[in-house]
This record gives sequence, C-alpha cells and structure tokens, in this order.
Amino acid sequence: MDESSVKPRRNSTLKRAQYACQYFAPLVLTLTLVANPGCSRAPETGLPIRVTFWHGMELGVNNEVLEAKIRVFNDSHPGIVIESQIFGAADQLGPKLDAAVAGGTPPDLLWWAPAYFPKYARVGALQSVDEFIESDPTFLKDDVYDALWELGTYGGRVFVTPFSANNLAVYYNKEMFDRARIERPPETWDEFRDTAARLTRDGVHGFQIPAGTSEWTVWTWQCFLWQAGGEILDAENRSAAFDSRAGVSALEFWRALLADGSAVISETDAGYKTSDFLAGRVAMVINGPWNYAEIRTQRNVDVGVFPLPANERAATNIGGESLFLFQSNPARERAAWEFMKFVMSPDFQIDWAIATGYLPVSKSAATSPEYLAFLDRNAFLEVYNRQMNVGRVRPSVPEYAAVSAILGRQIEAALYGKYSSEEALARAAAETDRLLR
Amino acid sequence: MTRLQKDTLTAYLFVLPAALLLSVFVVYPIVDLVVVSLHEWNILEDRMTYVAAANYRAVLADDAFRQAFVNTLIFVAGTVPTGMVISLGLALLLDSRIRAVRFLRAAIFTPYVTSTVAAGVVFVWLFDVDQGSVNAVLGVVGIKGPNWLQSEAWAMPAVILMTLWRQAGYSMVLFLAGLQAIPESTYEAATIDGARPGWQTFRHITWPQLWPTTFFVLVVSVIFAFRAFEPMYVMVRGGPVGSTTTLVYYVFDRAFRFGDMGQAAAVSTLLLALVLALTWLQFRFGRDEV
Repeated sequence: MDESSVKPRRNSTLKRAQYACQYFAPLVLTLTLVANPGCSRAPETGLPIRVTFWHGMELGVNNEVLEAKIRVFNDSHPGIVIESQIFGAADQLGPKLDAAVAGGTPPDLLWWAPAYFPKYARVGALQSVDEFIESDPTFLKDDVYDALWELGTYGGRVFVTPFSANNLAVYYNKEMFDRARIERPPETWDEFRDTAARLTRDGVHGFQIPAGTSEWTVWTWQCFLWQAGGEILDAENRSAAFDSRAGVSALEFWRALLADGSAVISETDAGYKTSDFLAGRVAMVINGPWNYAEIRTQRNVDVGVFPLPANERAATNIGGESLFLFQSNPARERAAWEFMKFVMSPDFQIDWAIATGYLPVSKSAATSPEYLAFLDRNAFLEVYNRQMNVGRVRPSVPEYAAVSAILGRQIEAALYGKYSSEEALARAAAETDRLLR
Repeated sequence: MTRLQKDTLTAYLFVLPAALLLSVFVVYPIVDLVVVSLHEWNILEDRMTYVAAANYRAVLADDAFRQAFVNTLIFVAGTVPTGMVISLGLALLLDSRIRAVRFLRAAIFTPYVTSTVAAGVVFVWLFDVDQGSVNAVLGVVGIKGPNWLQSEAWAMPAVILMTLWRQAGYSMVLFLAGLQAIPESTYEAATIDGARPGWQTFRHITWPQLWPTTFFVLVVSVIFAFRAFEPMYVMVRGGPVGSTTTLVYYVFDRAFRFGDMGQAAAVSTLLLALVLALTWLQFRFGRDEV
C-alpha cells in the first residue's frame, strides 16, 4: 500500500480513537475486551498491524468466502489488518517460498499443507505457537483434533495450526454408472478395475491417473500404498519403506489400469483439476471435498462420491492446510496468532465447512447441530467425513518435499514404462535413504 | 597531469559506470556461482560446507543429468537451424513490396513480446489430444495426432514448435535490418553484369553480404536455446519422464525441488563453460567469412 492511502487511514484511526476516548471509552473498552481479548494489545502508535497472509485458494467461490471472513476479522480487530495474497497452485509454492525465506521476505502467515513445515522450522524461520497457546486462557486446545496437533509438531513444539482438513475419495459420473448398469460403487481394487473397464467406451475413460511428478501424483499414490498395507517411511523416519511388496502392487495397479486402456493419464501436474471429469471425458477421478462449491453449482455432470477402494485395508490420505507462523516481531506474531485463533474458532470452522466443503478441524464444529444437519443433506461430504476414520498422514520430516519429488519422478517413470515398478521404487528408495541418512 | 593521463582518466571514468554495473550484476554472480558449486548448501541455511568437486561428480554420475544434456542438444538442434531458415525466409518475403507488409511484420514479431507463460498456456490447449486445434487440423488431412504433451516422444517437438513460433519474429527483425543494409547498387551492378534476380543474386550477393547478421543471429539463437526454460516449465514441467528436462530445467529442479544449491550451481557452471566454448568456436570459425 502506498503512502497516500496509508495517511487518511491513520488520521481517521486517530480521530476515531480520540472520539472514543472522550465519549465512549469505558463502553468500547469493555466491549472489545469481552469480544476480543487480543485487542488490548493493539499498538500504541495508532497504526494497525499489517499481517501478510499468503494462501492458494484457487476456486473462486472459496476465495470469496475467505475474503468475507477476513473482512469480519479485520472489522472485529481494529488494531490488526490481515492482507491476503493468492500464491497460485499449492503444489508449486515450494520454490517461491524458499526464495522468500532465503531473501528474508516470507509472509507472516501462510496457508499450506502441514507436511512441508518441518523444513522451515528446522532452519528457524517459523515461530512456535506453544507460548501463545499456554498464555491464552481463552483458547481451548483440546477442542482441535489431537492428530492435527501432532501433524503440526516438530522437535516437540507446535509450529503450525490447522486451518481445515480434507482427504481423498473418488468422484463418479452417476449417469455413466447407470448407462454401464453399475449398481453400486466399487469397494475393492478388483471391483474398481472391473468398474473402470466397464465404464470405458465411446471415447470415455473409466478413470484418470494423475500425471507429472508433483505432490498431487505422490499423495494420491500413497493412498494405494497404504491400502496395500505399505508405509512411506520406516517407523523412525530414517529410511524409505515404500519399496515394499505393497508399493509394487500399488504401482502395478495403476499401470494395469493404464495398460488395458480403462484409465487415461491427466495433464502434467494437473491431476487435481476437475475439467476432464466435468467435461465427461472420464467417469471417475480421485479428488477432495474442497470442490464442493463448484460441484454443487455446475450443471454438466451428476456427481457422486465414494470412498477409495480397499485392498489389504481401507486408507485415504489426510490433507488439509495449516497456518504457518513466520518469525517477524512480537507484535506481528501476536496479531497473526489472533487470526490463527479466529480460524480455529467454531464460528469460522462451521461457516467455512458449510460454504466450501472442507472438513472442520475442531470437535465443537464437527459435532455442532448446524454442521450435522448440513451433512445430513449432503451425501457428498458425508463420505469424506466417514473416511477420516481410515485417514493416514504423510511423515512430518524436513526432507518431505525432496522425498516427494524423488518418489514423484519414479512413479511417473514406472507409469510410462521406463522402469519396472520394482526398479522405479528401488531407485526412489536408494535416493531417499541417501537423503535421510 | 599530462594530456595523455587526463584522457586516460576521462576514458576510465566513462567506462566506470558500466564496469561497476557489470561487476556487481554479472561478474560477481558468476564468481559466486563457482564458489557455491564447490559447497554443499541448502538455500534456507547460512551454513555452507566445502566439498571440493563432489557436486560435479554427483551430477556427472546422474542419469537425469545425462538425459538433460542430450535433451538440450536436441532442443538446440531442433530450434536453431530451423528457426534461422524460417526467419530468413520470412525476412526475404517481407523485405519485398507486398501488401500489408507492415502489418505482417508486426504480426510475426508479436509472439516474441508475448509473455511465454501466457503463450505456453495457449499452446497447452492447442496441443490437447482430443480438443486441441493441432490435432483437429491433422485430423482433417487424415492423420490421427498424438497425445503431444503426455507423450515422451512428442512433448519435445511440441515445445520446439512453440519456441519456433515465438522466436521467429525476433530473428526476422534482425535479418530484415541486415537485408536493408545491403546497398541496392550492388544488385543493380550484378543485373547489369547479367546475373538473374532470384537464386543467383541471393547466392552471390545477399548471402555473403548478410553473413555478419546471420552470424550474429546464429550466436544469439544458440545462447537462447541453451538458456530456454519457460516453455518446458509452463507446458510440461520438464516431463513426461524428463523428456523435456533441459539443463536449465535440471538446474531449477535440483535447486528448488531438491533444495540442492551446490549441485544446481555445478550444473550452471558446466552450462556456462559449454556455452562459452561453443561461442568461442563460432567466433573462431564463423568470423573468417565475415
């Protein structure tokens, strides 16, 4: 923001403050204290604290909801201004953030998958929120799911707080299912292959496999690895564990679908896009609940959703985004914490979940009558909620981004037949072990 | 101070601003690059560990590096000669007095000033397997087009086509300038001596007179081709299976996806040496004819 636009704001703030002191000081003070204890720490200069907030909300509807919530926050917290900036595709943020952190210009708050935070925590770029949680009696830590706190912990300290949760399931085209006389969604790998084959006809493919080497490819594949009984890393996170029989059968499963033509490969690094599915080019795709608003408003396809098929066990990948708190100065960090707290509050969680389809991160929101009534009306989201029970999480290690890049490259090589599944995974494991050692 | 000393001082003062800028923004980064290439360094940390030539050994032993090297040569071979023929052809065509020549020149130059990212996105649509215009046109003449961008064999040709489209205008403008610098009287003299306009005048007048321009375009095109990154990134992310990962893309991958600045710097240094050597060779053999 340039000088000219800062000045009037400052004047008006000053005037408002004088006015308030003369006439309404006692009343205003009481009200703000009751509503927002954080406001008592507003800076004495009268200038609001500006908190830069980077997020990657690509869907227009979700972005509007977030902007509206940010306005609510800014209005109810006179000393703080959250300034949001969209960074684009979450899968491509790594290089931008690395450059920003190395250049000393990270945002104050960042919305991103928690799997990536340990890398920045290790180099001391992040501020732990432990102190805020302990010193803030108004914040109920227990209301947020324990698993999400675990996800945000590195070296015994919590660095990131949950924003929303999600997982992966399968979207399907109901009309195509009817035409192929498929009575119910597949529940096992064998049924899934059979279903995909039966849906493949007239230029339509039964299933779409994500292409590219990005995290989207990797985290969808991990679901199949877990379903086959495998793990990503060993229990101590010291070496690769995906180069197992489970890993090979997960990769072989994808290859078989491609080989018999019942699956097609997506655009490079664009497996998360719904365009091919909504255009009726594929009958089933793996995707998350966050497209709920888009799915609900489009008229092309009658969309259903079913849990990912099970093999040795049922499994999905728990995703979602957390808020990373970058180090700046105590006043800005505290202001940012106010926003983190605001995001975890039941009000935000319920409204956000109902408007966007993301899953709530707190028990009070997930079990609120409002949200439960909403789920009753929405089978689409009910599936995702149910799947949280079989959800697993990616390992929180500083090297995760590199492990994902290594794995992504070899998964792609196997899908294109450059290496056998065994060789691709063995290569990825050798590289991963060198990295973690 | 003598007159000579004074002149020398003045000369140095004139050179100083440029020299200062060059040393800060070109020389220093190159020196720093070589230093980084001898260290293990993660961009997020201040700590650098000296590892001598370990980064060079690691990348030279990496299959992906060798693939990137070959891909770079394919890209250079695919874009430089073809690109030069196309732009010279366009320049010859647009040097004549045909209708709408100004419009055509501007139209052909436009891609060069278009953002590569925007153009790349458009080309992703054009090359779409069943909804893209490229395959639609191929379909009209009875050819079933490939799945360009998702195919190991066809992704690089697609990237090359996009680059040719984008660069043609730039080289064309250079050639046009070169053509217009050839004096009309030379052609007149040749005609009087009995040369037929067309191939004979092109072979014996235009081509030799144009050589300094051609040489410049060659050097610049080769350097551009070695530096290419955006089309591979925007259209196919260096894939599939690394088939469009050129050396610069490999540098980006090492640095920002794997966080290995040392290896990235080592490859950059190798690339710099390669381009310097090639340019030196071009000057060594190409300038004889100038």
